[in-house]
Amino acid sequence: MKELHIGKLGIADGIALVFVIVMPRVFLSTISNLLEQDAQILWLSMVIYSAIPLGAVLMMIYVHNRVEGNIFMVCQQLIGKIGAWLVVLTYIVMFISNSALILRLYAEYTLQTALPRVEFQLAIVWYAVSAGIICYLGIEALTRTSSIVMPFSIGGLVIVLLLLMPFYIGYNLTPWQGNGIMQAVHTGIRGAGYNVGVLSLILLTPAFQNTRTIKKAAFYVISYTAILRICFILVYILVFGVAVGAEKTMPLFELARLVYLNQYIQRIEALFIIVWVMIGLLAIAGSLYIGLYLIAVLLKLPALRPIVPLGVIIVANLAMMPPDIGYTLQVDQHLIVLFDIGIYAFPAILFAMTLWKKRRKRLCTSV
Amino acid sequence: MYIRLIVWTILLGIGMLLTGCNGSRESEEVAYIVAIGIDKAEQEGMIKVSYQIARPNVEGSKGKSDEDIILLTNTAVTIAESLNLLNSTTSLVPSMSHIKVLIVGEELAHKGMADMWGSLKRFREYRGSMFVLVARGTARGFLEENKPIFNISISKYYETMLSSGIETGYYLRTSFHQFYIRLKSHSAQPYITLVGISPKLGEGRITTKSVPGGKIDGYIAGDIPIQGGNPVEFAGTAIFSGDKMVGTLSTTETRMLAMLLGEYSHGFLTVVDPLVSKSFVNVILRLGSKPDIKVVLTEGHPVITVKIMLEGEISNLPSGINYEEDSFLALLEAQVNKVCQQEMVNMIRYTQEVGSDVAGFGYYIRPLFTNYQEFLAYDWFEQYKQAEVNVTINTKIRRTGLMIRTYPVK
Repeated sequence: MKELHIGKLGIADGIALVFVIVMPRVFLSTISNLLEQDAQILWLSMVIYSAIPLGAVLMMIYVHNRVEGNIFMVCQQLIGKIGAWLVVLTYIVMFISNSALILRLYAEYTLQTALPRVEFQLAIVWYAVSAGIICYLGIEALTRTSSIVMPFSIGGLVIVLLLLMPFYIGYNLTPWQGNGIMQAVHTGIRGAGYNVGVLSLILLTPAFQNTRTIKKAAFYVISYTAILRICFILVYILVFGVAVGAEKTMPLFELARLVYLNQYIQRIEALFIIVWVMIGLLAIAGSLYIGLYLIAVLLKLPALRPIVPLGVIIVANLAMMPPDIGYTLQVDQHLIVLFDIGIYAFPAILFAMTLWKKRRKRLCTSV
Repeated sequence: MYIRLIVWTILLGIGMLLTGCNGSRESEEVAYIVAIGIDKAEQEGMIKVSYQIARPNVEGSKGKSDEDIILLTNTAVTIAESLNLLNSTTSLVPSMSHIKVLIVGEELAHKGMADMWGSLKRFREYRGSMFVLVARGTARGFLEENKPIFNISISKYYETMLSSGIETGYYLRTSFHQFYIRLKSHSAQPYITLVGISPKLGEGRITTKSVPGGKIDGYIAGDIPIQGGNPVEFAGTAIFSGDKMVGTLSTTETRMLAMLLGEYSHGFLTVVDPLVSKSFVNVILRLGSKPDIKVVLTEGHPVITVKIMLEGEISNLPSGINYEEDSFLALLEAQVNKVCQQEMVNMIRYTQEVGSDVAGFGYYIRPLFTNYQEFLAYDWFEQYKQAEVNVTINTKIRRTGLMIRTYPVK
């Protein structure tokens, strides 16, 4: 597949790709929902939430080091054709639905923040078409663009968090156990699926230079995103506390809106909307690309570009299906079950099968 | 080849369509609301909403501030409906995104506004950074009477007026964000800057009598003895229990609150001269460090320990006694300690009586609980009323102003 740029992606590309896929949830309502569940100890959930996907990636790297080929070929060799279809189809549903969900949420929040008078369909179409164009340009264009955007978005985020220092209330972080350590562990384990984007490194293995590149990229990006998420959550709690923090629809937007240093340094959220939109577009495009790539792999298509418009139409239509924002957020919370299958079940099964096959091979050789 | 052409054409088309801002309006077409006042209406369940609107062509210029603004009031069931009605009375489109202050009439503040605060927080045009005020009398009256005497725009007036509160500690500015956070917090209760209109007769009304050793009485807005100038006064604090206003703190009490909050920048304090009771001593005080507040539970009963470190500078010594000398300086420091300690204890006791932990002692008790549910179950606000409070003030006069000794007047 020409558009995949086989073996061309390096560590920076991997980091950028995963970053743009997993970070938007920090900007969306996910954090508010998780805060309501865990209260002050949400940071612990984030640590668990980040560590588990790293384990999944390491398991998959182990698998890829022993079984050659793309994800479908690997699955086929380990769990048979039907199993491979099941795994790849699940990942397709996962990434396409993630793309659709982020598209819907971004369109909704664009209407609520920057462009309240724009037609909803127009916002959806604008995001979908833009994401489609990025997809059409290929994975290299997507990852390189993400690499450019990433430092600005991290820088912007850090600036907002620092500018809010006058609003910090240290005691908001206490009682430090929040709603309980066990609750945090439960949320962390259950929420690990939200990091399913990390698996894009595995699903796009042929595009990367080698598995060491993937391993390093996974390690770096998980560390970066975990640190950013934890810092974000701590500042969010410091500024809003648990009760008000759990009320917010858009945590980052609310934080940026609050910046008021003096008469001259205030109302800076407009600057962050741009960063926020760019990350969102890349997230939609990234998830869509992986979904479409898996379709191409599954159907053994020689090229990905012809199905991009189709993918855009599907994602846009899926995004418009939920009748309201409340229902969309419910879908988001239910979708985590599917994401968890992707992060726990499949890597574990494939890892176990690899180990089993290796053991069987050794036994056969010794006989 | 063609596909690239098509993509570029689409991109160019989108770019051209998206130029400019969506729903753009010239500034002359928008009614920029600078202040919004909310009062209880005569009709049951209705509110009176007053809008102070800046004339776009003069805002920012140095015109006569009372001519730069328009005041409109309507009566409606909700603020949203009031905005609809406002739209019917002006040709301009109302915009709330530039509101500087939100003023609540005293009667409505006492009644409670729980159903209103949420909507203000939810609608995107209201910002957490706007300031909140409680007007003695009505918000409409405050807006009507407020005529800044210096040639500054009305929005600049509100900004500077509220920023200058730190010069004395006699009023504290509260942003809507701070108010709302406390409204939903289980650790501290909200407070709002108190404003009022003075009759300008030069006769004030004391709210808090000076404590023994003190020389300063406390006033609340509207009661300061002034003559001339803008009749509007920013002084004291409206304190809340939940969403209901339950009392006021005078200027001197507000200064103590500022110290407890760690927001006391500096200000003059006048005390009785320790050695010549008919005379007085002036010191400029500031916080030497963040207040050291500890709350412990003794058999489930909260005990609050407050330690305040103040640094001072002598600014006036009419008696001629050499307080600059170490032996006398200790007397003066003890006098300041005594006055501040008494004022602070009185202020805290009052907040306990009315059940409003505006100092936020509830924050300091949180680390004693292992989890959030336990803390919520403790019901701090109820416990606060019976809490034991110990206040220690430690003043260190660091400087003696531009004089190192004083000779008495002959």
